[in-house]
Amino acid sequence: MPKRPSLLAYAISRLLLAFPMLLILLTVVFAVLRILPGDPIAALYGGRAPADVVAAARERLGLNKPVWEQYVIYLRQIFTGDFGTSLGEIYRGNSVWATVMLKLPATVELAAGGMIVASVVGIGMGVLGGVNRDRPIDVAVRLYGTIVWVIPIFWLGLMLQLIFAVALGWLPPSLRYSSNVDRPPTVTGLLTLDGLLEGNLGHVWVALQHLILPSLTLGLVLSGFFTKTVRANLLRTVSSDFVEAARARGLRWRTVVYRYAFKNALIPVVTILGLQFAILFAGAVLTERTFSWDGMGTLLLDSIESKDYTMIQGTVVIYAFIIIVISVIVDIINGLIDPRVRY
Amino acid sequence: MQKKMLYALVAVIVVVLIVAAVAVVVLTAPPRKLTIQLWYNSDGHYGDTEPAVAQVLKSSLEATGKLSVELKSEPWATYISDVGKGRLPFYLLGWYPDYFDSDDYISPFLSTSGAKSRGTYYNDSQMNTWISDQAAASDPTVRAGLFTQIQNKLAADVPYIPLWQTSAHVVYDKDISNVYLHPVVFKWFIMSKTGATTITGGTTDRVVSFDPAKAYDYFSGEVINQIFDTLLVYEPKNATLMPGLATRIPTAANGDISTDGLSYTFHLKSGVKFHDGSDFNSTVMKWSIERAIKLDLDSSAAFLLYDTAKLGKTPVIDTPDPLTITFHLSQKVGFFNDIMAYSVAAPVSMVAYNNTGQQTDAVSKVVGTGPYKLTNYVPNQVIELSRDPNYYNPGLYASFGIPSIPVLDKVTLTLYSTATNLKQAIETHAVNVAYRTLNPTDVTDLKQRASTLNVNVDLGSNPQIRYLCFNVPTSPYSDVRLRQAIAYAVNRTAISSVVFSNLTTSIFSMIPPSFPFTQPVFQTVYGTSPNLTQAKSLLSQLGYSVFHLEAIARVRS
Repeated sequence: MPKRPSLLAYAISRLLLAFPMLLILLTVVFAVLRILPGDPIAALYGGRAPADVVAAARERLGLNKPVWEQYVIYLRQIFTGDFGTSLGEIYRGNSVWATVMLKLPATVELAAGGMIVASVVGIGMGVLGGVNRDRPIDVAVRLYGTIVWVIPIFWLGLMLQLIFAVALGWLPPSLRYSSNVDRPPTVTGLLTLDGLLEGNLGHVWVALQHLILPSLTLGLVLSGFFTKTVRANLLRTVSSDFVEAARARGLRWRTVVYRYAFKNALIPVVTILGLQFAILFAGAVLTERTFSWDGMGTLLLDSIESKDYTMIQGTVVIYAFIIIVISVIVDIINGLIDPRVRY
Repeated sequence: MQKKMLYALVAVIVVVLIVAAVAVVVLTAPPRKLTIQLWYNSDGHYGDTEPAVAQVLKSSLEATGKLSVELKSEPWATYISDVGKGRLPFYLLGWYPDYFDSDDYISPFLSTSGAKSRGTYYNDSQMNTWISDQAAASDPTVRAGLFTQIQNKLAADVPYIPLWQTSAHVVYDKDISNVYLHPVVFKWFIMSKTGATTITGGTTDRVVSFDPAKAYDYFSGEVINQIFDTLLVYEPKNATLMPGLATRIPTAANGDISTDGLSYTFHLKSGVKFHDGSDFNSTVMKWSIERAIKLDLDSSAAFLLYDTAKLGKTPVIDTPDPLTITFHLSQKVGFFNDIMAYSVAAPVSMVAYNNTGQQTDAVSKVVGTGPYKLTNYVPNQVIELSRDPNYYNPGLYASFGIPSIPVLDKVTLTLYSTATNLKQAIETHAVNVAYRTLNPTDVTDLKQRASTLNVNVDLGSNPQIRYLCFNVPTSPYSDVRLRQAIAYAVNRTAISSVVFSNLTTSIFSMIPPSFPFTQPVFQTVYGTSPNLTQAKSLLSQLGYSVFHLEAIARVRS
């Protein structure tokens, strides 16, 4: 039997592979921004300033240099951790890194909330469908999985706002926090966590109230995919040999499903859960817009609107970095659970 | 089997030949109509209503039967860059004035340099002369005469077609008073609410900068005007100037404007202090103006000082004593006083600011002399304004029935991403005042439900104008008859009723009706409603009749 590669070697090779991935992504982002027509300086002046002022601004920002030179400068800056300063209308002159770090916690909070909703609802519904195969309840679950997966996020968000905020008045319609309540002192930037650290449950409650609707919107949409995956996996495990063997040994159906089949069905779901983060972040962009949630998604949209090259690059690089890190972690977990993938 | 393949092949060839023949006939057929492209911005720079506006314009032009309109759009950044480069032949734009003089609706459009940056490349030496004459003139009769000539020529030459004036709207809780849709700046510091010392406001706007030397957008200017005072300020409701940090308005009569009209002297109020406790005097005033000009920050309004106000890049400013300051202009500027009321001319603390770069938006770094202090700022989320207990001029508006400003202790402005969020916020009373910018349909809806929701919905005019532009030297627009035909055909009433729920006002000059010297020249020449007979007759003169054979079918820029 050949020697199995060590987990460490596998992890290192995964990390090394992530590097060219990041480089390709950086290049694509850079190229796309330059190929598209339009220009940040003109957007900034709104056509009001004289031509010589515009030309001077272009020179000062290095936008008059040849593209290859801009590319070299750009790569050098990113690999030395210098993301530059914003060129856009809103964040102009601010450090890209600082701005992204300011917005990241909002997106992390939303993503975490969305992931919790997606996992709880998705797994719950999936199991419900799986154990009741082909009964009306299963049909309902399958229908649910398909419908929520294709619902546009902004529409679902709007409906939830109209019902729970405007009509019933139970929850705030938008924003991360009430504007007339003091914010907890910033430690992590996650308002719920900062409220806990401050020890003020009132503040935690305000933050949570604001988090519910956006998390539901994002989580429900994602839960469709989870529902379908969990259901399919459960059906496969239920029909596998070990379940049959357990049943043959006289174990109750209930015990077999919840004790053995469910656990086995969940293993692939854990890895899929990790990979869903990319979709989660994409969904977060729309959710943030719908709820005036000031995170990375809003930042990205604002930057795209104002052709803020450096900010778009910075935001996309951070997104890519997070997703690459998560996928490497998922790969490693995968290798840990199932040594066969290490080859 | 092989035979079948052969048949299939022959069939395919026959079909291709037929399609090709039809295509040749269709494409080379003489144009019966002139096809033109109308451009608009696609990403909501002027609100979500822009595609609908373009659609209405398309159908009103196509009603002539001789024009076929192709709608084209681009995101704002690309759009404005193409406008600046003269790449768009026929397009929609908007204008919000920088200073509140009729000149700001004329020289940026009709002077050669202004028209170039609007992308129309209109160039007329007679027009240039009239424009510089009216800017230098201080006699209203002389200016009125020149503006009449300018507007008549505008209507005859049609480099632009004025369409409508944007409506302004504000929705607020019933128990709030002194909410005025001021034409220049929205004043939060005069509002009061029964039994309350604080209010929250909501907006979809974003702050670009709190630095007066940098800000050149509506909302930054709005916030700056709560925190900073200027030499001259506006009355609570109207765009009438009154003294702010100065003791009186310079006029030729009181001798503060020199006889040659090139020197403006301001006498300053004494004992004024900045929020950081430092003194305000003529040296600080001079330094602040020089700072804005020296920094000349990207996309700032500094050019209003050195170019429009003719102070030059190295301004000549005298400070004979701490309470007197004299500005020397290189050329006469009739509206110099108005520019001294614009946020770029607001003095900043010499202790908190430097003249080497733009001030950061950190709360402690935003230091003015205004009624409110900035006490909290979370970018893109919240702006908190709190009373300056040492404000020097609480009685500013006493003669207007507001005994002491600021009235409220605290105003918190909340920034929303979408118009829908803003509407929900005022519906659920998460904010007390919603200002800029709700969707027209939401405004109508809120107005209908105002008493149930316990809110007031105020509608007013806005100095922002919207208009069509032609790239004048480019064919086919180089023929003035085509521009005139389009001026005859546009349907302003349809835009207002179809797109804006009748909330907008049609305009017939580039100078909006609320400004002096305005004359509805387009109404006089082209009529209030579309005149298709005249439009058709002009287009026929151009040769666009049913059997027209001329080759130009499409406009290529």
